[in-house]
This record gives sequence, C-alpha cells and structure tokens, in this order.
Amino acid sequence: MAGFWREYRENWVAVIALAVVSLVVAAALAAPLITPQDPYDLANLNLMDARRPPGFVGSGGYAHWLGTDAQGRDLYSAILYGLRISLQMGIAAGAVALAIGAALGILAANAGGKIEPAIMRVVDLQLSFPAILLALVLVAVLGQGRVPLIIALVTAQYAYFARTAYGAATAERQKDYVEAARATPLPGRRVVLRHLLPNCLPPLIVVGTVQVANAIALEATLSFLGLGLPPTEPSLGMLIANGFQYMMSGRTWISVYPGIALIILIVAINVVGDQLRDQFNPRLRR
Amino acid sequence: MTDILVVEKVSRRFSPRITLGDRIAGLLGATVDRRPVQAVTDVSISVRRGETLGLVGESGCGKSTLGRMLAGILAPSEGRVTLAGEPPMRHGHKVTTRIQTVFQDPFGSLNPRLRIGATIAEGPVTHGLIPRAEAGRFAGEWLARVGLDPAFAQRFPHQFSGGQRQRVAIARALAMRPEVLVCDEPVASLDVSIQAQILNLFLDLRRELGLTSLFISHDLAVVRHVSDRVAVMYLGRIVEMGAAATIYAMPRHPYTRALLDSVPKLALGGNVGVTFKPIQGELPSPLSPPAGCAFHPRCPKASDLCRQERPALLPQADGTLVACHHA
Amino acid sequence: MSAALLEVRDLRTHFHTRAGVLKAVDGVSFTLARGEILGLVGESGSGKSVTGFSLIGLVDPPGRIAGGSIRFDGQELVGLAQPAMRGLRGKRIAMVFQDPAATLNPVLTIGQQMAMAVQAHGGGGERAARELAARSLARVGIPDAVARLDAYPHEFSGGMRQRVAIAIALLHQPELIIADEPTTALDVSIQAQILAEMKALAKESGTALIWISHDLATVSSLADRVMVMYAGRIVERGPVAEVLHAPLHPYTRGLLDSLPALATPGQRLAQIPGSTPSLLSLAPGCPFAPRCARASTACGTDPPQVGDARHGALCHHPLGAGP
Repeated sequence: MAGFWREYRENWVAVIALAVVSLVVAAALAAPLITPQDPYDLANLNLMDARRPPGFVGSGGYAHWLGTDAQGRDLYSAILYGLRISLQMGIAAGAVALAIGAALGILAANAGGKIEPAIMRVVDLQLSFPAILLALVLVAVLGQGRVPLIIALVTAQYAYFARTAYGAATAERQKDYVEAARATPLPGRRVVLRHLLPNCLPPLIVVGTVQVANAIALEATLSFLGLGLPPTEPSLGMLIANGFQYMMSGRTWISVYPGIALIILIVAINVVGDQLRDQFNPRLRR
Repeated sequence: MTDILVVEKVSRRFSPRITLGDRIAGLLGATVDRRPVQAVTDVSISVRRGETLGLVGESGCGKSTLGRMLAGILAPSEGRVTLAGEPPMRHGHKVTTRIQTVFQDPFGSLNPRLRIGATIAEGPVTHGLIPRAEAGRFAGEWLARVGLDPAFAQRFPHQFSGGQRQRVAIARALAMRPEVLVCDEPVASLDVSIQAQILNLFLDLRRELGLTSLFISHDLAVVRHVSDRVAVMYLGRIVEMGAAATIYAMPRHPYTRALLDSVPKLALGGNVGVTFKPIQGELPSPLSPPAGCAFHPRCPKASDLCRQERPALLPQADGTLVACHHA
Repeated sequence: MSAALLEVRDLRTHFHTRAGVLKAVDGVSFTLARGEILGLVGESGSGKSVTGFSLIGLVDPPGRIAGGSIRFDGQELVGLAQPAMRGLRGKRIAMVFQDPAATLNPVLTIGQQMAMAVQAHGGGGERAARELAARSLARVGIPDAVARLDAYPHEFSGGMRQRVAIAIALLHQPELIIADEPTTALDVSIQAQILAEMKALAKESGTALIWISHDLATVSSLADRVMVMYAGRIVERGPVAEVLHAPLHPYTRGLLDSLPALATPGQRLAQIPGSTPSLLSLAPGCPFAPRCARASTACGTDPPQVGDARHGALCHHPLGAGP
C-alpha cells in the first residue's frame, strides 16, 4: 500500500486531482458549516436579492461572492449544496451499479452453460444503447425523486461494471490459483468470494471511479432537462438550467459558476481514475 | 503392492466453443473448425501405493490433461478414474481430499491477495482437519517443513521467489494430508540450482510421508531422477510404460529412443563432450492424428503395417508395455 | 583463427529503478573470434540476456550502458549513434530471440517480412529479395520454401517459426548472431533439430555465434567456449570440455552437480543452498559467497582472476587448487 502511494505521488497532476476531489468532497460534507445560507430553506430567500452579480451584499448583510440566482439564492451556498446532491447521487448510483454489475459479471463468468450467454447478451445489448436515453425513459416512467433517479442511473450504468467484472473474472478463472482452490476442493462459494472476487476488484475500482464521474454528469444532464430532483432542491444541473435563460442578458454567473464546479469535479475524478488504471494495469508498469 | 489410483480406458476430448460470432460466420459461408481435439485417448494405468509414476512427453501429448483427470480436476469424456475404489469427482466437481496437486507455475498457483499462511491453512480448516484457532501454528509448521521461515506466514506471494513459492505450493498440497500427490511440471519454470532444491524437498517429503505420486514433466532427466516407473506419452496415448531403469537403459519404442537421443547429454569423465541426435519431422496436430501408429511419419522403422494398423500396448518379456509393431 | 571479431572490455549496463541502481551487467570482458561459437550460461537474473542486448545497442531505458567498450571488427559500438547502429544491426550483427511469435508480425506474410528485412539494408528489388528469402528459408530446413513465403506466421508451428526467425537473421550473412534462449520454448525433439542446424550453419557460413541459455547442456552441445555468468559477472570462462570436466568456480561445480541427469536416480541432488541475490543490494566482494561452501573471510573482497587466458575464473578459492 505504501508502495502504491509512492507510485501515485510521482504523477503530480493526479496528486492535484486527488486533492481537488478531497477538497470538493470535504466542502460538500461541511456545506452547512461553511455557507452563509441554506438555499433549500425558502424562508431564507429574498427575491429582492435575485440575479445579483458576484460581490453584491444582499439583505442578509453578507457578500454573495459568486452572485445570486433567479430565486435570490446565494450561488456559493447553492453550488456546495448542489455538489452534495451530485456526489450523493453519483456515489450511491456508482456503488449500487458496481455491486449489481460485479455480481452479474462474475456469475456469468463462473456459471458458464446457458446463464453466461443469457446475461452477457443483455449486457452487450444495453452497452450498444446510449445510457442517457435509457435513463431518460426510466425517469419519465418512474417520476422524480432520489430513488427513481438512482434506479435510472444504476440501470444505465451497471452494464459497464458487468462487462468489466466478466472480463476480469474470465481472465482470473484461467489462473492456476483458482484451479488450485477447486482442486483442494474448496466449496464453490468460497472460491468465488475469497479467491475470484478480490482479484477482480482492481479493474472494478478503476471503472467505479470513472463511473461515479459519469453518474454525476448524467444526473446533471437529467436535472438540466428538468427530469432530475425537484426544483426546491437544485443540484448542479438544475442550477445551470435555471441560469441558462439569463445568459443572453449578460447574467452569465448563474450558469457559469455551477458549470465550472461540475467540470472541475468530473475532470478531477477522471484524472484520479486514469492514474489508478495506469497503476493497476501491469502492462503499463515499469 | 496394491493399486491405489486406477485409470481405465480414459479419453478426453475438448470441443471448441461455438460462439455466436462463429455461428454467424458459419451462416455467411466461412468455415468454422468444429473438430474436437482428442487430448487423451484410451489410456489405462494404475499407480501403486507408495510409488512415483513419471509421466513424460512433449507439449500437446496430453500428459497434463491425463494428470488433471487423475487428480480429479477434470472429468474424463470416457472411461473411469478411481482412487482407492472411489471416483474422485462427482457431478463434475472434485469431492475427495485424498489426492492433491502441485501446479507448474508458482507465480500463478498462489492467490496474490491471500497471505501464504492463509493459503496453506485454508483447505485443512475448511475440511475440518484442524480447528480454526490452530490455523496460524499449523501454517507455520508446514512452512518450516518445506524449509521456509514460519514467520513468512504473514507475507503475500509477491514477496517470494519462484522456488520459495513452489515450496509454499507443496506445503499447501501436503497440508491436506493426501495419499496421492500429483505434480504437474513442478520444476519446469525454475532455475537449475533451485530445481535441485525443490526435487530434493520432494524426495525428502515423499520418503517421510510415504506418499504415492504422479510426476508429470517434459524433462526426461528429472522424471528419471524421481520416478520408479515411467509412462511415455505421444499424441494422447501411452506408447511405452515400465520400470524407469529399464526404459532409460533400453527404450523399446522408437519414440522413446528418439526422445532420449534428442536431449543434449553431458558426458563427464573419460570422454568429455555432449552428444545428441535429433528426431526428424514435426509433432502432428492432435486435430488430425495420423492413421495407424501416430508416430509412423517420424519413425525410422515405419512399415506399411504401421501406416494402417495402430499397435496395441502389449507387455514384453520383462513386463514393460510397448505400443509398437517392431518392438 | 583470425583477429577478434568482437572485443568486449569491462562492459557495465545499469538499470536506474525506483529502488536504486541495478547493475545487471557489471564488468564483463571477453573476445570472440570470427566463426567461433560462444555459449553464455546463467540463471535468471544473471545478466546474460542484458549482455546480449547491450551488444546490439538494444538496452531500453531505464537501462543504459554505464561504461566499458564493445569493439566490433575494430569499430567502437558503445556511444555509436543510432543510425549507424541500425546499419549494423540486422546486417552485420543479427539477433534471434526466445519467443519467435513476438518477433514476427502476425499480419504480414513471412515473405513480406523477409523482403522488408532485405530492403532495409538496400537489398535490391522485390524479386531479388524474394529469392534471397526463399534461399534463406531453405537453408534453415523449411521444406517447400518458395510456397511458404506466402504463409503467415500463425500457419507455422513453434519450431518452424523459430526457424523463420533464424532465416531472417541469416539473410544478410551476418558476421555475428546473438541467440537469446532460442530453443527454450521448444520441445526437446524440435530443440535438437534446431541445435543441429545452427551448428552446421555457423560452421559453413563462418558466422560467429553467441548462444545465451540457462541450460548448460544445450550450450555445451553447440559451443566451442562457454562463459558462466552470475550476478552480472562472468565467473568462469573456458573451452567447453575443460569447464565441464574441471570447473574452477564453485558455482559452475554446483550447477553441474544440480543436474539430475548426472546424479544417481532417487538420491538427493547436490544442491546449491539459498537463492540468487538481488542485484540491488549486493554486498561487496564475491556475490556467490553467501551460497558457497568454500567461502572464507577473503571472499568479502573482490575475487581475483585465476587460471590462464584460455580457462579462468573469478574466485578466491578456485577448485582444484586446494581450499
């Protein structure tokens, strides 16, 4: 583990990205403590403060460093609260999709027979289908709210994990240590859980990292289209959508700052994911 | 001596997996090769209690497949394997713990994410041979027995050299208290000096534990060194089998003779030098083995009879079994 | 024999890794005459392959030649510019690797690849190149050579692929071929065929050959002289018969005694204790001392060169000279 970190440290871009991700996560967790306003509490909002530019000191007596939006929300507070929702959705969807996908992929690789092609054809079919389309349909059917949104994100993403887990498990299964475990003989469940699964985890963690970023982007897209969470709890996507109509009138901050926050988060997670991939991939090892 | 492991008329075919892609390619008119590979054909052998049977042959001759069927890891397509009267497999799964295997590649045969102490104790704990609380002490004892520091139990496989890993793999197999040990090319990937250490360890433990073993290798000298009896395989069949000393001193099958002649031999003492004599021709594909005796295209003694009729594996005067019309 | 074709003096190839400087080749010196076959024997990590790669300037970073001299036919190769090196490589010095599948391009026919190799060194027109290729294939014992030019590498067996690799190496009638474990991946019967052919080819074409292998027996069946490497150094060198019959270095003795072929069946082999040292943390003095039965306090210092110009070793306590 120490060696892993030493190798990670050699790529300073990845170190900065990791620091950014940590900072964003910390800021999102601590949002109620470090923001001047709870943007979800309608009592705090004053329409007199709406659409004010960055630096404006509003009725609350504090400066809105990133300006305010059309409802008079402090954008800095709204962005941190929005990041909270985006991260929650991304991580929850990523984790559930990882669990389901890994289980399906390893099951397919391990079961063989008719189960293997049955699972993998469904997965392949879904991979050939744009994730956003599937998520759109599901949200439209299931309605708004956190649970339907997570279901939509998971459905759109588990197939990536299933593919990855299947590939890793078929490769690992060929190795002698799995055969040695079967030859002992150890019970099938033990072989899968203690021998196969731990050795399939590295690629899954890499895909998981990148998929969290994808889930955040997907959630933002759905919210932007008005299909995400209710407008009372705006995530980053909805903040961007809300500010969109004011872009032409020069009030660009309402969309631009949440957009920048979103991009920084997604890019940083992807850079971390890339570095993890490089480090887990023995072929790129020097 | 009594037979402990008996193999009767065992064959194994591997059919290529026909994927969806192959089916579509077939529909579009491409030729998809669906011929099964006949890895092992009609092999009958028995291993006697306490002996080491060497199984030798070139790559693709089916020796590993046969070894895996004997070890109860692979089900035969035809025929029967019994270990002390009972089949080692049921419904395609190994059920017995009385036979254990040491694999060729010490880098692949240990789970990279399991401490080696856990690797050694896992089987015995799962099968109730030792209580879970004893696992640490037990693993340490076995490490000491195969010449490693008991403190190594807490380490992971990547912290060991190839020879050390193979010691761990031997400890894992023997910790199950098997009656029969199958060694599939256990020293093939090791350096000469390490190979000698592992062979010595094998010889010592075999004597101490009174093991019966099947020793598979492509290396004729290694097989000669450890085996009481030797079986020579060519293209899925046994062509010669008998006491090791007899076979090496007086090979009866032309393939055995040619194989022995191909190995560069160091001659020390009076006439220093190295001699070898190559066999002609290539190994035929197991997809389309030659008719008659499979060795006839490369055999200097081949006659019309060899091209038409496959010789049976028949006992000679001294008990050696040879499958050759001209033995 | 004529003047030396290859003269290596104090060659050092080091790898700069995270964990420190790995001295893979640490002061190797030898000479090779025209037409001579030299065996280079060692276990994994002894530096034998890196020595081979150093000779043809193919050491990849983080490795580099840290010192010494390689004179090929009077020309210094250490520090030679890449274009000049490329002009030599494949033409006057050729290499054959362990895994022929990795050196042949799977999407080109054998004929195309050989023609490219011919034309890379200005070998004339396509037709001439094909003829040369066919002749070369026929020389290494590939039947029906002209027809086989249009086959792809996967249509050949492992042994045949290695023959093709050797045929490519022979195309320009190089003065030196470096063969790195070329028969290790092959079955004994195929290995024997290739050994026999290499021996005949080297003799008839007058090509010098460096045969790198972990197997003392194969090397000895082929070579005129043999060098034994351990931990980046040549610990013993000499004519094959002398080295096998009366080794000077305890490591060579230990290697010979470890061979099951020379032991009484069923008896314990005379093993060398311990394992090869890590080249990253070599103690000063003789690297074999920790595993050596003859080691003394003197072995803490660099061992001297003993023996003569024909047959020598690096050892404080050579065999046959009392303890």
